[in-house]
Amino acid sequence: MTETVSQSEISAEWAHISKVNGGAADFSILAASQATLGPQELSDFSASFVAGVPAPDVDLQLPSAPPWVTFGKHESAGARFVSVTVQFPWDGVDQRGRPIWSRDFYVFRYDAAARGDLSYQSLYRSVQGLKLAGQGGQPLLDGRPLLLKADPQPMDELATVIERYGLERLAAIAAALLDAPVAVGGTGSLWLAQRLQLLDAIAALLPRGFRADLSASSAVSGLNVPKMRLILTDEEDSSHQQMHLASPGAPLWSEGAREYYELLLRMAQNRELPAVLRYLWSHWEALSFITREATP
Amino acid sequence: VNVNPAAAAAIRILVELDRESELDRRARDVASIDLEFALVYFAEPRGVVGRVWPSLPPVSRDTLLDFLLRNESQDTTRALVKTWDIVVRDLIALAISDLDRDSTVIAERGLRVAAAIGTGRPIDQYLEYILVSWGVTGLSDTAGANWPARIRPRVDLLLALQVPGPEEFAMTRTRLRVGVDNGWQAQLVRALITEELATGEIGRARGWAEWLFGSVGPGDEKSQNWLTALDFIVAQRPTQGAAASAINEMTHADPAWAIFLAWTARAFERLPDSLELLGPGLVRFALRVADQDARRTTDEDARKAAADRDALREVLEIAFVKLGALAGDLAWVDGARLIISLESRYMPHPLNQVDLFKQYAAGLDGVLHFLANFQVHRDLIQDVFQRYALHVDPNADEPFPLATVELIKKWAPRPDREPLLARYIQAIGAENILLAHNQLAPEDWKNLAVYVPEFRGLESTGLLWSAIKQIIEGKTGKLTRETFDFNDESGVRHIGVSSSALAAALFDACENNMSPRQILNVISSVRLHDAAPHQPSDFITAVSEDELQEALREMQSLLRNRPIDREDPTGHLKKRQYEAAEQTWIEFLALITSEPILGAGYGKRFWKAVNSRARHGEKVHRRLRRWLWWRRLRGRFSVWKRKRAVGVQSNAGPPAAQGSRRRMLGRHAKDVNRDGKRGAGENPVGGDAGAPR
Repeated sequence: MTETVSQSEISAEWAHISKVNGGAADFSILAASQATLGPQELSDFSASFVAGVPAPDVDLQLPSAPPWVTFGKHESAGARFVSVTVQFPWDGVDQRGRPIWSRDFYVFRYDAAARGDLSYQSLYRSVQGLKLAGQGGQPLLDGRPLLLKADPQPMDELATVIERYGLERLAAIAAALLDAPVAVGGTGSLWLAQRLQLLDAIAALLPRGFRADLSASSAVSGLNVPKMRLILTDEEDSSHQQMHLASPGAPLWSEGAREYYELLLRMAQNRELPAVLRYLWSHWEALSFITREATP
Repeated sequence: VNVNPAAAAAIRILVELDRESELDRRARDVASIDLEFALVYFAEPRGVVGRVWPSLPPVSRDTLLDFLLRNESQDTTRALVKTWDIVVRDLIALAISDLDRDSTVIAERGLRVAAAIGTGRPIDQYLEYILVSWGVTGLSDTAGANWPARIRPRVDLLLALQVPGPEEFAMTRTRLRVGVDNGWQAQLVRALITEELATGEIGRARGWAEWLFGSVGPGDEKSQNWLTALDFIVAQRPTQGAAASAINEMTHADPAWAIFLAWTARAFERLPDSLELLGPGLVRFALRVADQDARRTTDEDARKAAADRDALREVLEIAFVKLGALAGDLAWVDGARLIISLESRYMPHPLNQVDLFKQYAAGLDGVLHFLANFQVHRDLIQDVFQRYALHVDPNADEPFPLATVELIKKWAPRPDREPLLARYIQAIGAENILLAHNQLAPEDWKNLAVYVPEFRGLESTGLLWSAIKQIIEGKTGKLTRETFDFNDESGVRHIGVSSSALAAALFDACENNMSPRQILNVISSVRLHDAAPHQPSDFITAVSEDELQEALREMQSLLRNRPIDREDPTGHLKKRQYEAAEQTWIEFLALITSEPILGAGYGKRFWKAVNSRARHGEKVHRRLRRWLWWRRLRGRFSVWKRKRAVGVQSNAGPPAAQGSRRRMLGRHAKDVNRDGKRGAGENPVGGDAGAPR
């Protein structure tokens, strides 16, 4: 079946976080939009879900090398937001000779993203290639929000990705997310596009409304403990249940997570996987994991 | 079991998929759908219905909706109200489909459900889509052919609705105000208001029109002609010029607009102001009806022609005068009436309603001009009007009313009016009345004679008439002549005598091939009806016999001396011209003296005058002969004297002979002086001395 897709426009507020080349100051917002979100909110949002900086000696040719993409979730005045942070390869050094790992931060209203049927991949593609600031950190844009064009997520494509990795493996990870933050290992060889596909595939096995409360990252730094609920990393930490992409092993599921996993597999068995995915995708009203966040 | 809430929510959603799947499965089995299942289906939570509904095949959706729509109850209405925003697209499609089958059941039910939601917006949205949408109008160019049939049920639907207030249903109003002149919206609105008017619902028709064209200003839509026209009629909004242009264009594209606009104008009591703009449209429609009558080949053609004729006839039967229509505009109504073979009704009387007649004639002129390319109809209308305006009563010797004469004068120089007018004048013998009362100027006759050669003489008749009339009135000297002497541009000297007014008139008449009898008839018929008692009132009291004789002699001279435009080395042509002039002159004398054209008494006196002149001429002749005799005698006497001087030495002549010569010359000189203009060598009866004989 051919799905009809229609491009939508979505408004994004933004910030560029970096250091001044050769400067002494720490990372801060060097340029930002000035719209509905105040500077403090934008600052708080942009600092909430950070993938961290890679090790100085990271090989930038590796698939796991930056850019890293992190998806956050936020709330302000009763409104829900989702964000995309792009952590770029380092460019320049500070006063002490440390590389500067700049990142661009974009924040969207959850409702708008949901109505546009936007996935993580859609959101990233909408900002991919944008440049918010120059090399010295000087703003390249005025303070207005960006109006971005974004394509809706085709369900058939997600079904293909899920079938490639195996429904059972990804369903196990998705079910585990209902209980606690999960770090997915065995992803070191995946390039960024594949990582984003994987994040979308796992999230697609939950009702879409959970994306309002889901944070995820294509990669994280081993130097700090990330806060995101779903991360792709081979490094273990105490806050995330470690599951391997090749063999999830025996997840530490709660009763409910197990029931969901089994029910999901049965549903997928009884009907076409895309139909199940479409059904879960249609439940976009915001849902919450309620249980604890990953604690850095 | 104590399940974590996130997992519980996820499981609940997945379980719903099972139930929804069951719903979906049953709904796909169209044969099993009944009212009970439809109610069960729509009893599901909105979210469930909303998720399952889009995935159902259209036939399932239509069947489910159809059960709810055709079984009106609280339950079905509640179900539809609850899921309105989910099913409204399908409901609209269903209503459109039903309307296109000439049924308003679904559409009306949909309206009631929309009304049950409690706000105006759902009705507005629903109406907008079932009345105007691509699904309704169709994208194909040929879709327009089916429009009338598809518009009819929609009009029925609107007829059942309460007319919206000015601010209600803004979206529907906006959509209805969009579209080209003969587009779907225009035709729909026209059909609606026409239907309301036809059923006598003037108030409702006004309501619709006020809603569409009334106080609420137009939106940003492009100003279409039909909107401009209706805005003008209903709300007097655009200028008359803009409205006139709009109405002209739209009735040109579809004359049926004229019928609709006329009824609308009447409903809004704007007919007097609008008829001027609608007139051409009514005539256009009449032309179409006439054309349909001429062309119809099938029963369908005949039905359509009859329907159009009836529609036009109804409009043309409106009491325009009572409503205050102007005479000039009524000419358009009469024009349309005549084209479809109805009698004209509004022609004012040229004598009793002079101003109205003039206005009407001006309006009719517009009609005839408008029909320039429809000669048959144009001629018919002109003919009818001519018959009315130039009515000849054989028992009355009355002149034509001034307004009629003005009309003739106005039309005579126009190539598009003159032929028919001139032929009609000739056909009814109106020229006699016009001549008898001298109602036309020579240039009028000249104009009329372009297509009726018989009128050519009448041009000089008019000239002669005018000249004679002026002579009788004493405005010009009858026989006054003046010597002129001047050098032209090339330095050639010209010396001559101008002709008298009477002689010039006679000469012109002859030059225009009027016979002496015709000329004398005209002269005798000139009467001054308003002459003072002591003033002459006709020719014979104004011009004496001597004066007429003098003028005739002058006329003869003018005729005789006309330049000859060919080589005449032998003088033969000149001789013939002399003879013809003399013949004409003699004919005049004979007619005046032998026939009582100018009255028997005048004729006798004229004969005496001629004789007197002849006797005088003879007397002069005798004197001349005597003078010549004395001259010869003197010559002989001189010879005798010379001979005698040689022989007898005497140099004096006989004294008696010298005295006789002086007396003779003195009398002759006196005679010449008394006659004034006559030269000594003139023929005493007529003609120039020395003329070839």
